[in-house]
Amino acid sequence: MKSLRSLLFILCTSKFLVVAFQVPSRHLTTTTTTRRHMSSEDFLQETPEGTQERIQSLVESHPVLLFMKGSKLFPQCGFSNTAVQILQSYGINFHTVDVLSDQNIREGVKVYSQWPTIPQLYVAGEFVGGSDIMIEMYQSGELGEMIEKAKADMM
Amino acid sequence: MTIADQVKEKCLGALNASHVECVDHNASQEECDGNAKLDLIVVSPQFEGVPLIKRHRMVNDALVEFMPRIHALSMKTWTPAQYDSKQP
Repeated sequence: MKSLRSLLFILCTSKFLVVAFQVPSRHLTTTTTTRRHMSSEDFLQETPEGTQERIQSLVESHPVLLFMKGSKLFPQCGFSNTAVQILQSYGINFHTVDVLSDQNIREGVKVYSQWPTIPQLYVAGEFVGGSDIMIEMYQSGELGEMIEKAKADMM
Repeated sequence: MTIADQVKEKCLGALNASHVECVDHNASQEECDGNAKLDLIVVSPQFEGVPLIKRHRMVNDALVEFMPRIHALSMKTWTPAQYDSKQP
């Protein structure tokens, strides 16, 4: 009972704090914006340009980046699964972005790459292709060379 | 005409393809909101000297009008010589 009361207290005060924080800012004519962590709500309100910038910064900050459906552990599509298996065969660190959990990126990355399907692979900031291209480049050894080069650049 | 046939016809025309195979694995339209799951082989002299990614872009561009009705698209893009070398 005591813990319930203190929980209620915390809930009430935190709500109060939010209100107290929001009300004055609404009336301020000059505001200083404080940067807070991006939440999914921010992404919902994101402009198409904002999405493109976010994709660009992802591409630039990860030497090997895969836009896919689902995660490395639980790919949600056969093509994405193939792409992950190929990258894992090289024993490298690579970053994945789950487009199913971010509708803006899901549509935005198709525009960014001028490519209509997911998955999409980027190596060293360059668009490589989708899963069919990854399979062919894996078989020809071309993808391995590209990854080795990107790995060398990472050092 | 099925979407697989329409895609085939488009590739023959727009890409001057000498041979096209197109199979819709969702022809019964039971999955993927009734949209197609296509396996596509396009053989065209226009692919001569063109890198793989550009070949795929050429096909994607040719099929842009069908994309809303395509759920998944897997493709092989070969020159006539590449296609001949794959024949048993």
